[in-house]
Amino acid sequence: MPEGTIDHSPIPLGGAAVVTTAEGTPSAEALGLEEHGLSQRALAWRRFRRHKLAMASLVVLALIGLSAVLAPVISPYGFSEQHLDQILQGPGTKHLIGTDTLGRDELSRVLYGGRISLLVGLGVAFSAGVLGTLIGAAAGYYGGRLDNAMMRLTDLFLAIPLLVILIVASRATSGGVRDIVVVLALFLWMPLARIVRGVFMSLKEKEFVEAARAIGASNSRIIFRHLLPNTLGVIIVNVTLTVAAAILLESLLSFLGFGIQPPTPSWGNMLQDGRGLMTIAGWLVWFPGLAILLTILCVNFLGDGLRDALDPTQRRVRA
Amino acid sequence: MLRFVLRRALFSIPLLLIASVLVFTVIHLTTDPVAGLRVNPRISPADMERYRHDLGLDRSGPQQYFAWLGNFVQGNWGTSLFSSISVSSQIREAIANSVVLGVTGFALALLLGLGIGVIAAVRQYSVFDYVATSGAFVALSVPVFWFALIMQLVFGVYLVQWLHLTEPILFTAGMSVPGSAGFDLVDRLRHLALPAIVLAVQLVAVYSRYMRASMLEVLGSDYLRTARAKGVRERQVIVNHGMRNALIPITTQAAIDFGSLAAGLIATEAIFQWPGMGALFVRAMNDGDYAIALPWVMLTMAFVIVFNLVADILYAVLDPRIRYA
Amino acid sequence: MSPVTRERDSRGPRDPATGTLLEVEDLTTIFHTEAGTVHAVDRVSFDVRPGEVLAIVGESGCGKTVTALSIMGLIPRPAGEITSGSIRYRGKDMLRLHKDERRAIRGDRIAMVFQDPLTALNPVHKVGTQIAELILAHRDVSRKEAWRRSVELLKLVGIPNAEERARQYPHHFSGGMRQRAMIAMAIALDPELLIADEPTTALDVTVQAQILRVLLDVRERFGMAIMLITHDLGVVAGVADRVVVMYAGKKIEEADVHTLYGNPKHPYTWGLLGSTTRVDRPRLEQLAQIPGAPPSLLSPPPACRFAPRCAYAQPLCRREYPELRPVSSTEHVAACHFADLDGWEPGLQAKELASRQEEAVS
Repeated sequence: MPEGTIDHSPIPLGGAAVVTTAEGTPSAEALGLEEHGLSQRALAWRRFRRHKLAMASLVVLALIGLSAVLAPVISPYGFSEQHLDQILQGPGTKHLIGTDTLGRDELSRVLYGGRISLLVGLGVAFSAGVLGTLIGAAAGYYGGRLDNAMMRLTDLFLAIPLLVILIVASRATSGGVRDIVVVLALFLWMPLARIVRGVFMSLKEKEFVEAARAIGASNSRIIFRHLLPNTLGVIIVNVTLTVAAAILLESLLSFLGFGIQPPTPSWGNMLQDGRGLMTIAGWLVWFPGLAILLTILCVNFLGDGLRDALDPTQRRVRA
Repeated sequence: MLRFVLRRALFSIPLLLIASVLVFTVIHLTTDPVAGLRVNPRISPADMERYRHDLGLDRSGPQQYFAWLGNFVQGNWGTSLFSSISVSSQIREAIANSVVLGVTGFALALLLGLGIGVIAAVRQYSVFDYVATSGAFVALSVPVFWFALIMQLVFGVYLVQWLHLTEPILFTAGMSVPGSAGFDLVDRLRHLALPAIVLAVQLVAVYSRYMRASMLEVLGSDYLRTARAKGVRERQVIVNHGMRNALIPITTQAAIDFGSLAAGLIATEAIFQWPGMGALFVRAMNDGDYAIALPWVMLTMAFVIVFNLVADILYAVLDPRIRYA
Repeated sequence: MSPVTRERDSRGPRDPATGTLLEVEDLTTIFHTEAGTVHAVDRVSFDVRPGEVLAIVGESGCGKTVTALSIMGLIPRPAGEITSGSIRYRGKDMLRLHKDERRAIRGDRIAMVFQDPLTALNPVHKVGTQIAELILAHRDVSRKEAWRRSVELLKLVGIPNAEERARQYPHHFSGGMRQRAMIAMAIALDPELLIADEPTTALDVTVQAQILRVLLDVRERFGMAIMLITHDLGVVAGVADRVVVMYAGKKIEEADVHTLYGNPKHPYTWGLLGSTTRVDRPRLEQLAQIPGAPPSLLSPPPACRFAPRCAYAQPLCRREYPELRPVSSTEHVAACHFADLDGWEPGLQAKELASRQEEAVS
């Protein structure tokens, strides 16, 4: 499976039994599990809170985000500030996680790199999210030629492996953050669009939509007031997982030399820089890598927790 | 069935053409094969012109494209823009190497992943299940290229130092020891091991999750209960009814994933310096060598399309319900 | 005699062996869920006699299917658990047997037909293969022989073109045919007890009668006992010998079919028997539909579980659990405090009733 693709399989981490209503086994409804009239949102929050890992990840991500935002303030040095008398030093008191071949402080570079990676991750997820939702909703609701066109288009790009397209497309860019965000978003909206389309198509046939139409609701009203809120859960989960995919893809691209170009530090290109010297300066590879790992792990936990809380398609009776 | 295959093949051609146009345009617009020569003061402008003319670079974009397309279709792939080695021989060699790595890694991953998934599903909530599920989750969050680097560190540096070895247990670069002649299986395997493992790691995680989910769904099904009600041995129930049904979506997905293996190989080959398709592509794209890049993209896409087709055929073979749809 | 079965040449039910075929005693089956423990079957006891048709009746969720699954040993663990009781088959408690011994009985001596034949058959195996699988699991015969027997069985249940059909997949069959195939599969080895869990519920009304006919034919031919689980009292009347009525995990009435229809003693049974007013009795005062819903099985009330919906409930009913007591004969029991009250029958006027009940209580 190609790196960076989004896993849409509805597999819970928590390990609760998905006891289907095979004959004779009580389903949650049959057991009379009333939720005491809580609102949807309150229910979702309750379920989310139970997923402790997701909660912890939220906290960690907040910290990471904070450190990224405050990078200019909290970094001991600038990210391209060279100390040629202190090159390739291991972790120590003056440079907490060492220096690179030009004497640049790794800690500062990791912090600034975090800024870049998070910026890319969030930027891509947001743009792809908006784009995917709009296009998917339109295709799913209006159907017809618009839908056809979208499906053909996404089919085309499904035939070319994602990484290949990204590498080719990135050549047309300058290597700045904005360009990378555009390139990634340009291809990452497709899975979400297909999902939203699917949900809209199935919801469109339901009675509450017919009822709304019967009382004269306009198309846009139906979309925004009825269909979209019901898709929100799926969209949120998907957007969260897109953040992880985007960060991963950006790092990979930068690592291979096609993404963010130096001297702007990105965790990915820091790994590229450090790679040649890692046999004598392992810290150059460990720390940026761990940063990526930690961030993606937390985003995935968060996405998992959100999926448990928001995805209505799972019926779970814990055994 | 034959009609189905032909129809799909026919639809794929426009797909391939569009892709080739896109790739050609992007590369054409962003590379200048003679850039390196420009800075050389000893080459006169006249020579430059002649060189460019020889490469066909003085024609318009579309003209160059169609010229290339004509040649491509005839099997005339020419030589690389930056070396004089023929494109087809480079690609052929790269394919051979990638196949070795890809098939090994993929097969390994499937066997392990499916096995873990089945056991985790059958023994749901056991320690095994918990470890497998968590492990898969973490493995999917680890950036594969970083994992590859760490593996290189561990096997190439740490283990050698800690165990005072003269050479690493598993090699961290290349396909064979440089300078060695002939074919030494053990040596080759020691070189193949790490890249194959790195390739396999993520696949194992993905497929163990797929299989676990698929098995769980099947294990909760009515027909599985019927099989047990018939008094069939549990092992047979798991295999003939559980796995037989759970594998259907997995097999088709595996076929599709195998088709996209080329992308997965890119990072791994680059890091382990395995001279396969992935490494070739990275080099070609870095150089802007569209003589290599274009056939590469066409081949890769064709591969993807073929395996998507294989997936559909497999599905029909495995699931009688969709045979006549 | 075929090595596959012990089919009799003569027709008619087999001579009953001494004693009962199956004795369920004090069976309790629970499920562990996110919300707590569900008591699906709560200390239920009944017998199945050789060759009889015993109907287990009740609404959805009353525990009848779980009872059947408990007998078959198909309760999913660890979610489900049989916490007490015994299930004696021919004298041996199946719950204490080794799992291989249980497996030997399952399918061979006690077989089950499930509700939805579409999902109960594996869509990727041929129908003939699935029937043969049962045979091969218990008998040492060749594949060919098992296949031959499968085709024979399909013929037996009335499926035309049996040879061709056996080579087809379940989705090629209509609903009724699928159910016939399920029945064919279940009787493959001439079991002594056939448990049919709502065999007609998923089918068209017109097909329902056919399937019941098949079941009765099969029973006439092989002499097996049938435990018929259903919520449809119409089905029961024409087919059953004895009836067990279940509610909220408990058995609340048991009688032979004539007595149950003629002289039911539990208000729930009255409700089930429907809105048909009896010509020989005064009109019912209350609605025949039973208002309300069954209680949650998570923490069932300690007293009569039907009390909240019962038109005749008294404070006693909410205080003390009405154990099963004999009415008229030992063959007829009911779980109601007033079951043996004189004149306790549907259509009882409220005033009359209240005074009688007070008498009984004091």
